[in-house]
Amino acid sequence: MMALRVVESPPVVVCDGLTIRYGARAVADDVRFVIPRGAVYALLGRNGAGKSSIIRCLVGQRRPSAGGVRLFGRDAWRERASLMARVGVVPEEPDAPPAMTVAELAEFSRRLYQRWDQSALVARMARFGVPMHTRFGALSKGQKTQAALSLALAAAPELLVLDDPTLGMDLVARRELYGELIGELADRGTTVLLTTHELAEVESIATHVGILRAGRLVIDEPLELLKGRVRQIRCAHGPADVAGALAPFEPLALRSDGHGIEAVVGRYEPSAFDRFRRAGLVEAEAQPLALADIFSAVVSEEAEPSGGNA
Amino acid sequence: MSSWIAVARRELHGRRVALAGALGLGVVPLGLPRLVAGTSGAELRLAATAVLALAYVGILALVVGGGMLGGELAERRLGFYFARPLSTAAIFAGKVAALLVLLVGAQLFVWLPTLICDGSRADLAPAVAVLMAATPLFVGVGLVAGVAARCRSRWLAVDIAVTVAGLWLFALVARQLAFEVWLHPGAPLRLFGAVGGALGIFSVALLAGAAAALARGRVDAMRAHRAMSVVLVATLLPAGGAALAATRALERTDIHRLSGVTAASGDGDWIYVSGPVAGQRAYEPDFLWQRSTGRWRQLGVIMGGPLPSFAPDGARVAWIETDNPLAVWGDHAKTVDTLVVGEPGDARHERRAPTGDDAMAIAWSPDGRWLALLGEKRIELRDTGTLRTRATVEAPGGARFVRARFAGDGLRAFALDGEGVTGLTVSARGTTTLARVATHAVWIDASPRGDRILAARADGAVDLLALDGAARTLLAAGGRVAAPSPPMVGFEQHGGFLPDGSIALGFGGDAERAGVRLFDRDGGPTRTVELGVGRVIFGPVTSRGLLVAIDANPTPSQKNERLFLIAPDGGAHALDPRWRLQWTLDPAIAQTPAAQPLLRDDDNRLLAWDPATDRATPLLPGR
Repeated sequence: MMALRVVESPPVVVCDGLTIRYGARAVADDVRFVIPRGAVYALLGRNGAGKSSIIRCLVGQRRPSAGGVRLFGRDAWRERASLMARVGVVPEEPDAPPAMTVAELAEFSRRLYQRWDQSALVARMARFGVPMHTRFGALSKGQKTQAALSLALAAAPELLVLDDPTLGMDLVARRELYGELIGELADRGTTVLLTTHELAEVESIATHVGILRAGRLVIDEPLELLKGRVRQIRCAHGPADVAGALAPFEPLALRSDGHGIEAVVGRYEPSAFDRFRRAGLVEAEAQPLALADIFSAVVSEEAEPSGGNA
Repeated sequence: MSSWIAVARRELHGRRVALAGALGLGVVPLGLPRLVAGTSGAELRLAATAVLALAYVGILALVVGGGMLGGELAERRLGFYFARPLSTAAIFAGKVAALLVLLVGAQLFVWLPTLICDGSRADLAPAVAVLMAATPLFVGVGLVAGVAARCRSRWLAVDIAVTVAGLWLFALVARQLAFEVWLHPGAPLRLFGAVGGALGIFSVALLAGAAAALARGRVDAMRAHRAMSVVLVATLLPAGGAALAATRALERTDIHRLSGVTAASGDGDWIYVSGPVAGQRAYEPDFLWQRSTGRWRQLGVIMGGPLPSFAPDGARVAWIETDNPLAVWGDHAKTVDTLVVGEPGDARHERRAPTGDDAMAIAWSPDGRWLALLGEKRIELRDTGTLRTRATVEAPGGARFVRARFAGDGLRAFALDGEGVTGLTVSARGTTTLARVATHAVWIDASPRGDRILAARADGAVDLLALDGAARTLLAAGGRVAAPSPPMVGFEQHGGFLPDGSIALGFGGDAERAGVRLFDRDGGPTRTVELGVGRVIFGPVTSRGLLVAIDANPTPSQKNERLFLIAPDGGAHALDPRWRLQWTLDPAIAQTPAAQPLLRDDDNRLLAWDPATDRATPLLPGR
């Protein structure tokens, strides 16, 4: 009788206690997260939160001060060259040589990848409307990013890393870029890690979210779970200590005015909220939040970390 | 295609304009000869091209090399490579290869017009080759300087300090090899080797630093700069220190091992010491040492050329060297010989004049006014004031001059060739009168007054030649000195005039009775002095008489010399048995009569013997 053996492929990305220091200052402190195959992981944070530094460690361009990053089960720093055959990178600032045209860049890259798809590149560039024979340095910011994304996807990567790709792009260009990304996900199921400040767009494609605050990953979970547990609760002022009654919901942000109390809680649970309401202290309602609101509540100064990376 | 080639091609992309610039620059030297009158066109083109090539490549290395690594680090453009499946080694190799191609190509393009114009000149090749060989250094400097300048971290101060310290150490090595007179004969070669090695180490250190910057820093400029600095510190300083230590550990010549020809100035203050050095084959250094001050001066004497010769007053010395001191040290394929006359050890008072390359001996006239330069085919007389040639006498009939010396009055010189003796009368106006007697002599000696000559034949017979009263004609009528029995044969001088004009001839041979026979001024025998069994070795004539040695075991390895002072009256005084004569090639030619003959003791110490006190004092510093 033949025994079947199930071989589990390792997660695409394992960030294990990653710490990055610039001198005495830590921009990433014991960051841990895992990106499973096929996930779209949005790494969010305010400017200077350490997103780009983490990305550089993740693609083997910077050595971690402590901890490490594993891609496909292999060390990103030590085995960068071979790993990059499976990874596409779109940097925050497109860094291709400005004197080369996209066609020349494609010719250069084609020799480095076994699964290079030139026709897909040409088709994608045509959809973006970016000329193939214009010097890279002469392209607009949006066109550079579109060209960089096209070059990255032409190598048929298993992991696509995008570091704030829409920075400085207009609305149309952003939509085109995310449209291509969604198409790629639909066609090939590529694992994606991206950092961005465009939370509305990313909310539609992200499956997992990580939120950095002051170098620490305070949120790391599937987007649906996050949106399920983080809610906005509004209630009127009552005779009792309403704020104290909200404590089990782990408020992330609490605002009080003449109309009542508005809280963003990190541990919303429907049955508990029903009990809260049935207590009859006040009238209360709970509303789901957009990712942008959750992010805002999590990274606000008074917010305390909850869940996720704990 | 290998990934590093792809990187190299990418790096060269857009930089081809540098090659066009080189070609344009190379045309400039072609027009220079038209602008600068009175210069050799080819020389000017060569010099201008070399300068332009060096300058252009240096600037190109800094600009392009600096941008390739430091610039891309500073501007965060290295991520383009690191985000692709390219190893760090491939990225670095590609960048270095691109820079090498660019710099070598630029070199060639700068040289191309000159090569086309002066293509038949073989001497262009070394200049091009040296510049080409230096390209890795330019590459290293360009890459490292770019990182240091563009990254601008506080480690820049470390880079500068380490580079300065490393270069200083290598400069010390070069200085020591170039000016240390007591180094092993391989010093010149080692100097070249050290310079090449230092540049090689420097290039490797720079390239290793640049590679470390890329490998450790990748896209992090600060970390890259720090890694580069660490490599420079770890490489340059130890390499410089090791080179200096190795240079200091090189074998030095022990002056006491210089067992070759030795001579002293008339007052005995300056000593000429020469190799070969025991245990150091093929090294025959020549030094002048001043006893009173302890100063040294190394002479660039040609190997196999004439020995330096002191003026009778001891204040000057003449020697012949090539015009290239380094060639004298190590390479005998030299160019033009130079007659140097100067105060020993004082380069400021040296005067130089070109001379032929066939000079075999230099002789001073006793009054110090004339120098006789003896070549194989001719004898030149030069006045010592201007070093100009006053007379040249060709050896007659294809004969070859072998020895020459002045008469004691300083106004007559005699040269010996295979056929006979040629006499020169030297006047204040530099005119000469040739007189010649065929004697088939093998050595000659002139009397203190210059009126007679002893001319010995190979069979031991000795002719006494005289000049006529006007000193215009050399007479063969001087008679023959009766050869003592058994006669001494061979080419070594075994006789001469004593201070009072009487004559001394040696007799005897290996394992035979040996001694000195004395004759009066006219060649009549007066006395025979038997000294023992062995071979007679003639030493210098001193104020008290002739110094001779009897060697009972005349083999190079087993000396058994006894020294005697033979007075004109025939008295023989035995000297200290521990002393022996300092061997010289030909004391009559190569040195003036020393006031204090040079001896060696059993410990091979060089001694000066004072005839007045019969005491010998060490001349060289103690061991």
